[in-house]
Amino acid sequence: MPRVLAVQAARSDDGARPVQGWEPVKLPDVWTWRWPGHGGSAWYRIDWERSCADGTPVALGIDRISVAGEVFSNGDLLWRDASLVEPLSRSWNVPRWWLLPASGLQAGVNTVWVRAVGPAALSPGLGVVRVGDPATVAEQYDNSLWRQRTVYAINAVLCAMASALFLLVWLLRREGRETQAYGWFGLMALAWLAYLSTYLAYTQWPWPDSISRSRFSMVALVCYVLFACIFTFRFGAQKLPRVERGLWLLAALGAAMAVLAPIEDAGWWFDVVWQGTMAVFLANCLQFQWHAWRPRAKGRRLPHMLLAVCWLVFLLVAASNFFSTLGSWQVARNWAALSGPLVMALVTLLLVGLQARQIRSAERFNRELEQGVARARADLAQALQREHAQALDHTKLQERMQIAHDLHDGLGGSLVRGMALLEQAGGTLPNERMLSLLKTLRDDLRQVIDQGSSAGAAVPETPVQWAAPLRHRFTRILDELGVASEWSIALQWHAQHRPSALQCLGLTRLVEEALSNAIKHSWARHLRVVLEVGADGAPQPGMLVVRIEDDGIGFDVAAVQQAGMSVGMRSMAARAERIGAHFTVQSGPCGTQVRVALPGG
Amino acid sequence: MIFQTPPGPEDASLPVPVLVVEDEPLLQQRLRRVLLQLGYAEDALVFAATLAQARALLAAQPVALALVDLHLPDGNGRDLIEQMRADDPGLGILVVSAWSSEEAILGALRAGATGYVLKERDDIEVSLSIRSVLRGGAPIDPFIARRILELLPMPTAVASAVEPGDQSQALTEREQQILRLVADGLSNREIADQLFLSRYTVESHVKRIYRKLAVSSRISAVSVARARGVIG
Repeated sequence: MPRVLAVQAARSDDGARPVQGWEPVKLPDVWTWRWPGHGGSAWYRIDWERSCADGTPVALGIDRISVAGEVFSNGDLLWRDASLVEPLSRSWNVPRWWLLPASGLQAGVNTVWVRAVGPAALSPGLGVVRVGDPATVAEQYDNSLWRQRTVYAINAVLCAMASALFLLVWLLRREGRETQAYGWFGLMALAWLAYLSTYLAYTQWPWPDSISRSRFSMVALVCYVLFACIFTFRFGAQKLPRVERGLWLLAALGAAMAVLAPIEDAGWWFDVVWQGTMAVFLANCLQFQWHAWRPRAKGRRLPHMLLAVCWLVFLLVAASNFFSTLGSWQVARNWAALSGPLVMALVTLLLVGLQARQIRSAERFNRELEQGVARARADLAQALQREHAQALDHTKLQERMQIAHDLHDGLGGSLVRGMALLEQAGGTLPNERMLSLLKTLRDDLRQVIDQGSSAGAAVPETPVQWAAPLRHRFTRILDELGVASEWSIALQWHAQHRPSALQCLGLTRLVEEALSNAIKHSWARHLRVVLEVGADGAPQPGMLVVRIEDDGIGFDVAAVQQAGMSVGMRSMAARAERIGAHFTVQSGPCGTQVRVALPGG
Repeated sequence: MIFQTPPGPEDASLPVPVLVVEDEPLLQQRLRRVLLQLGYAEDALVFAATLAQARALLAAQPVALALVDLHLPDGNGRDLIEQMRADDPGLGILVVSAWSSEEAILGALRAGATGYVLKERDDIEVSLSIRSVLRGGAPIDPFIARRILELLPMPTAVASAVEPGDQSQALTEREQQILRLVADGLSNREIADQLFLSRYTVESHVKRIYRKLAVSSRISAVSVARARGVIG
């Protein structure tokens, strides 16, 4: 097995391999610990021994060369960074390994020369160097690659996603303290992403040299801590305006220091800024523990406690690193590794919280909406009920008015005629006439009732149906009296000119009276009731004619009309007039014909 | 209208006694007069002013004919009609009432009345109705005929599709024919002439129709009435 015998380092002012000044060192090495203020180049010499001179290949692995460098094996150039002058290539966080060419190796002691190039402020030096069999070296290279690059790459992707997501949420919904927290979180992730680029970039681009790049990294770190603090305040609903102002001031100061630090002492300045920033960050992590865990009247809030746990993890890692021998720069490195999962945890936390809040507010909205709808429905129902009741009252009133009107027109008319008759008779009216008067009144009352009933409200389907009740009643009576009766009723109404319900009732009363009169006065042996509907071809299409003919003794129409004695005649004429019909009576010794003609339409 | 009441009894063997249930004394007198004119003797007439009185009288002696008012001080005459019909399926029961609503008329016929005449009709019409009942017939008018045509089931061509109970209430062809003619206003005499039947046969048909109405009402009074909108 190959074995490292000694590691030595020597400063070089011009970049050439120095002959003198070699000092034993321990890797990993940062030469400014030994030679403060030295910038530029330094050479490392690793002497190693092949165990036996067999042909087994030997591999060389180097974790990092800060900031850039070149590697020789026994004087043969093995590898070199793209640029060894400003802007320097960045190999400070890039592990590499090579197979040492067998031809250049000697039996016994061999030497690996590494030249590192870097400004004094950037902790120049050399990382762990391994010489061994290829399999072992490759495996260790894989480990280093995972720790130094892959972890950061994953973190960078997560940070980028979180940053984009939360900034977007914040942009879309800017109102509210909670949404502000998202904005600050997005900025925090962005700042951290910028800081992470220190670990991942291979070149100084877009900065002109490595110092500028470092200044930028320091500013990014300061921003990260500032945003982390403000995010914590917002998320935890902490109102600390003075502390915030102070933090802004400190951040401005830190950024100014990082940007303006003189190149000669930049390392010291950076250290001050870095430590101050870390102190602020840790202070914030600590204060939030108190904020989240202290007992509260309304109970602790779960999101606060979760964030507190995140910050607690940062605190513990920092503490363990401070007390370890690895040095403070390891803190940042472990934090960087931690930040990915923590960011993810926070993202999940926030999204879940947001989602839960939205669901809650949606549910509340739905509940309110439901209540609102129910209330509106009840109001509407009430309004409708009121309206309906009003309409009903109105209809009832109208109906009552109508009935009163009908009573006045029908019964009232007959009453007035009866009164006139009584007055004119001068107290000598026979009983029979009196009875006849009362019966007329009764029949009129019946008509008023029929008008109000469902049967009276509809027009009968056919003239036959209209005539049926009359025909039935009077045929029975006439049969009993031995009077032959004949009914000739049209089968259908005229298609366009149907009489109204009122006209039908009026016609019924007219025919009833005419038949009653005929039975009372005519001594007829035969009676004929005819209903004709004027056909379309007739002179008056739609004209409805009802004739009641008897073969009785007849009477003097003119005399009766002049004397005004016949209540029945007058009442029939009045009824005909009310339904818009033409009423005529012809009478002679051979009989009487009553004719009612209702013009169509 | 004034009509001469037709003279005298047409049959010496008038069924006695006659129960008149009417609370108004003047109208009691009127029915007494009509019945006397038909040939009844004074002692064959029994008068009751309330349902309770009528029930007491019925308990004491069976009657051969009943004239019943519906609106009585202690209830609706319909209950009494139901009771009488249950006691004597062949009894002639004529309703003489002032109520002219469809509900009242059909309700009374359903309860088992043989006929219905409005109080406001002239004496001659009341007399005609009583005589019709005495002859074993049943007074009917076009309005009632139309309603019965709507209410009672029609005989169906596929008898098996209908339950026997339904079939027994269904109108026969002849009954429908008669109801349609009544609905058109034809008198029993005219119907008899048109169908080549005796007037007596027509009247017994009508009586049977009323019985079907009563039966159907007992079986499915509520459902039929609901469906036709008579009640509820």
